[in-house]
Amino acid sequence: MKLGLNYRFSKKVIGVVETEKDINYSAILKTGVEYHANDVIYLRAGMSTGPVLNTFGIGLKLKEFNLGIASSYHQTLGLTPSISLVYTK
Amino acid sequence: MFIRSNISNLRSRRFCIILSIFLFPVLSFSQNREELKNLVIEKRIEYLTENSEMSETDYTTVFDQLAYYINHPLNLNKAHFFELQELGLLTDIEINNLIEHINKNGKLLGLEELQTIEGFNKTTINLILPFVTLSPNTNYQTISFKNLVKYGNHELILRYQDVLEEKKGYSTISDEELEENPNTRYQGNSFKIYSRYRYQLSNQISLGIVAEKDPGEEFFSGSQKKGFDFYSGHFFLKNQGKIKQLAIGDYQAQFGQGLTFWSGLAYGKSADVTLVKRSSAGLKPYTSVGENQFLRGGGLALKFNHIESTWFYSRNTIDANIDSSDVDFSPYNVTSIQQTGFHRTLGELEDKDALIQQIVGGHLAYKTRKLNIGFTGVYQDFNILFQPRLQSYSQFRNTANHQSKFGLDYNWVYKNFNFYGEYAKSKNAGSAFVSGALIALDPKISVSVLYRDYQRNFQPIASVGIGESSTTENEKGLYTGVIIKPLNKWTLSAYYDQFTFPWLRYGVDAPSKGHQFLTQVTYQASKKLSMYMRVRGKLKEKNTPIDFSGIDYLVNEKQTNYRYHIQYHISDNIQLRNRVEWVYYDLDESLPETGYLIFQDLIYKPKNRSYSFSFRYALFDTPSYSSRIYAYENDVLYSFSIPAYYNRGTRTYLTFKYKIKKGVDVWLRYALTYYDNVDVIGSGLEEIKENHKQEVKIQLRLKF
Repeated sequence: MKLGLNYRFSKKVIGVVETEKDINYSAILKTGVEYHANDVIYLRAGMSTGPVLNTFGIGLKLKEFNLGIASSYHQTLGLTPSISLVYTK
Repeated sequence: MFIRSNISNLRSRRFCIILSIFLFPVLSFSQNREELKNLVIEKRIEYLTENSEMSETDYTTVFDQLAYYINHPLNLNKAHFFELQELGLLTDIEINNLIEHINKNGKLLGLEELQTIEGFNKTTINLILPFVTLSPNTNYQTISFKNLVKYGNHELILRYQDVLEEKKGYSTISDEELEENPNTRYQGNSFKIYSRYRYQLSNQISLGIVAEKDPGEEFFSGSQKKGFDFYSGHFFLKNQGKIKQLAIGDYQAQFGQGLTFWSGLAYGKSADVTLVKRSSAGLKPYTSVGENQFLRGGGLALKFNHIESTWFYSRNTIDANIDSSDVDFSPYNVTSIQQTGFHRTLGELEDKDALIQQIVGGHLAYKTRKLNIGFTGVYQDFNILFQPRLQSYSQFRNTANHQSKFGLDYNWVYKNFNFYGEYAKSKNAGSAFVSGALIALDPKISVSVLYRDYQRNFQPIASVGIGESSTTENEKGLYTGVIIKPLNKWTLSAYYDQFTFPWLRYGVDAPSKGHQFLTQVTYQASKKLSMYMRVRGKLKEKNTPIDFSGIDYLVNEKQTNYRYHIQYHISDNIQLRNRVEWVYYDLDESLPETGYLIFQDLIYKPKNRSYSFSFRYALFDTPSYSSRIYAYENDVLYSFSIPAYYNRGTRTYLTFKYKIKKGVDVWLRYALTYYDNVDVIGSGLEEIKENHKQEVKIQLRLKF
C-alpha cells in the first residue's frame, strides 16, 4: 500500500514524497524532486530507503513523445540504468 | 555604528546617516555586531567540528576574515567577487546574482533591496548583515607612512590558563624512579601562556607575532632558553596593483577543492549542505598556534586580468619519531610524524623539529566571475629517509622522501547551477577525484550533490578532500544534500552520504562501507526566539570487539544523535539557551548505550555597561567515551572550546568580560567539571586523582 504527496514549490520545481508498505517487508520512504529547466528538459533526482537508492534522470518532452533516461545507484550493486518512451496524442 | 570616523567628506556622511535610518529597523534588537559575529562563528565552528575529534584545535586562522569584516564591513556595491567569496557566507550562485543585479540595476540603495535579488532570503540576509555595508568603502588606504600610523590597528592579547588539580605528570617523584623512567614527568609547569600581537592596515597589510607555551613545557629555562616553546610570525600584503597576495613568514596555502594542496582546516559534512564545496583563499596569513600545520617561508600571488599565478616555498621543521637503531639506513629513519606540538617530556623534546620538510608549489588559474580553472603542482622533500612502520592497511603509503603531485580544479557557475571539482594525481602513485554540483532550483529549495573517489594509493601531502575518513585516501562516496525553506520561518536541511572503503583501514581488517545522514528543522520564530531539532545518524563497519585468534570479522557500529536546541532573549539584556541531546550507540547490537546531555545557558549583556557574562550549567550521563556528546562552549575571545561530555556528572562555567576602558578588555573564565561515577580523570600523565577538574583562564586585550 502506498501514500504519496506532491508539492509544487514553483512553476519549475515539484517535490514528491511517498511511503510504501509491503506486509512482508519494512516500510519504505521515497522522496524526489523534478526541475523544469526549460520547456523541453526535465531534471529529476530522488532517494528511497530500504534499500537505499539514489536515483536521477533526465526527461525530454519532444512534441508527442516523452523520452526518459534514468539510473539508480546502489552502494553495492552500482548503477542500474533505465529508459522509457511514452507517446501521447 | 555605521558612521566611520575616517569618512571626511560631507556628502558621504549624509549618505551614511540615511543608511543608518534605513538599517536600524533591521538591526534594532539587542544584539550588537560583536555578538552577531560570535553567533555566526559559533555555528561555523560546530560545523567544522561536527565530524572531527579535535576539541583542542586553534581556529583563529579560519575565522580571521570574519573577524576582520565585522569591524570593516564589506561594501556590497564595490565588492569584487573574490572578496565576497572570501567572506565565505554566500554561495557562488548568490554572489553571481548579486553582481548581476548591481550591473543591471545600478548600486544597491538599501540593504532591504537584497530581498529582491534571486536566491536571497531572510536567512541569508541576516547571516551576512553584520559583515556588509553600503557605505563608501573604507577598506582601502593608500600605503604611506602617514596612513600606516593613522589608520593602522594594533592588538595585543595575553592569556594565562591552568588546571587547578594536580596531574600525574606534575606530581612529586623520587629521583631514582625518575632516573629509571625519565619520561614519566613533565619538565615544566602546568600553566599555559598565549600571547599575540597583530598590526593591520585595513585589509591590506597584516603583521603579527604569536608565542605559546603549552602546559608542561618549560618557560625561560632548561630546554626552552628562548622562552616560549612556539613562536610564529607573519607579514602579509594584499591587493597592491598586480600583487594579489604576498606572504612572508608563516602562512597557509589553499587551492581548488583541497585535493592537491590545502594547508589548514576545512569544513566537513554539516547541517549547512552548501559547505561541502571548498572555497579556496590562495595564500593566507597564519595566526593560529597549531605547531605542525602551516607553511614557513614565502609566497606570492600575481594577478594579470583573468590569469592568476601563485608561487610558494616553505621550509619547516616537524616533530617526528626517529629510529636510529637500524644501521642499514644512514643516518636515521623516521618512523612517525608527531602532530600534537607538545614538548613536555624528554621523549617529546627529543622528537622536536627532528625532520625538515621543504615544500615548493605553484598554482596557475584562469579566473572569471563564472568560470574558474586552475592547475596546481607541489613538490615535497624530507631531509631524512622516511620509513613509517607500514601495516597491511597502510601498505600503499609512499615511503619515498621526495613526493610530487599535480591537480586540476574547476568551478563553473551557469545560471542557477554551480559545478565544481578537482582531480589530483600523485607521481608514480594513485589519484583522487571529486566533483559536485550545487543547484538553486528555486528560492525555496537548493540541492547539493558530490561524488568522490580517492584511490588507496593516493598520497595526501596536505589534502582535505571531503569524506568520512580524515585522510584523503581509500574512499569512494556519494553525498546528496538539500535545503528547503517551505515557509517563511522554517528551514529544513538534510543530507545523506554513503561511502565505501575499498581497502582495509586502521581497526578495520576488510574492505568496508557505511552511511551517514542528518536532518535538521530550524524554526526562527522571531529575532528573539529560535530553535532547531536535529537527528544525525551514522553506520560504519568495524572489527568485532570480541577477542579471538585469527582475522577479525566486521560488525556494524551505529550511532544516532537527537538534539533539541532553543535560544530566547527574555529581555534586552538576558538571553537563555537550552539544549538536550540524546545519543544511542551500539556495536554489533550487543552493547547498546544511551548517553544524555542537558544544559542551561544564561548570557547577560546589559546595555551601556562595561561588563557581560555567560554562564552554563550542564548535566551529562553517558556510559562510556563511545557515547560522548560534544557541545560548543562560550569562551574568552579567540579561544574556542568544544569539549566532549562523557561519564556522569555536571559541568559549570562562567565567562566574565569587563571593559576597563576603551581599548582595554579583560576576560575571566572558570570552569568546573564534577564527576559522579569516577574517581580518576584522564589517563597516563594527564591523570587526575580527583573526581573534579577546575580550569581557569585570564585574558587581557589591548587595542590601540
